[in-house]
Amino acid sequence: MTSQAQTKEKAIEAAESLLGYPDTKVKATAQTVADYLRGLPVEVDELIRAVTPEGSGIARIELKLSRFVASGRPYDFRRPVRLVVARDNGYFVAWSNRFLVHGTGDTVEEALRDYMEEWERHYERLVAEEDHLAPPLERELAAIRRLVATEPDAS
Amino acid sequence: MPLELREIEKALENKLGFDSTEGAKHRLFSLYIGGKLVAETKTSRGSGYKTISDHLVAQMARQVLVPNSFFVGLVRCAKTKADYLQLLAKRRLAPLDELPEK
Repeated sequence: MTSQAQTKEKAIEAAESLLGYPDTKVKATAQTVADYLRGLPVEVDELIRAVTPEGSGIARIELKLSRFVASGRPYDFRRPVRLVVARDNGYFVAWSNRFLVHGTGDTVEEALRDYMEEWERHYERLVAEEDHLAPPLERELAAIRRLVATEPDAS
Repeated sequence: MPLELREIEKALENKLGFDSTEGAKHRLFSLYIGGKLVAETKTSRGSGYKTISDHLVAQMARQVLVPNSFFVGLVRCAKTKADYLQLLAKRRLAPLDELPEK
């Protein structure tokens, strides 16, 4: 086992040892961290709360996503897409330097979901307007097509 | 530099000629020049979005294909529609025959 895998196992053990802790807050935090380390789905805002000091908020988080899910449909990518979510004036803004869209929301999770919905809408618009795109949007559509490995059936 | 939502929407629609479409959560702005879709951006509904801060201003500027300071200039009336079209022409970002020459 590599040292990185050993460290991860130790972290999982430590988190799981706290699952029987009487304080429900500690228990919930330990569960979120353990689930995340085990590769199970967790809400991004819950994870942020779990790994940051109580009462502090994050200013910016960067994620690499291999899949977007919008309208309940998955879009798998050939390479991960780097997304940034940053706190603005009382809300969060999500963006990627690869695409000309952004998402907003009151939480990181909301901003990410809004981003993916907006990305899907934008992509569908580019496809619909394919013969009527100016150069930057033409290039963007070509880049999205190179990136998307599988996309949901139109049906 | 924070900008007022109302001023941004006014600049996009009235000054730069973007078409707008109302959605449930957002207002979508699209710019066509010579029959080509050149840019689109959106504003968000809700009381929290009356003042638009730096990150969001930067993203909107990127989506309308101009540097941040240029976008602020467009909203604050330091830049005109002609300035915008000239910048698009200079950078070959829109159909050239539809854009003014400098």
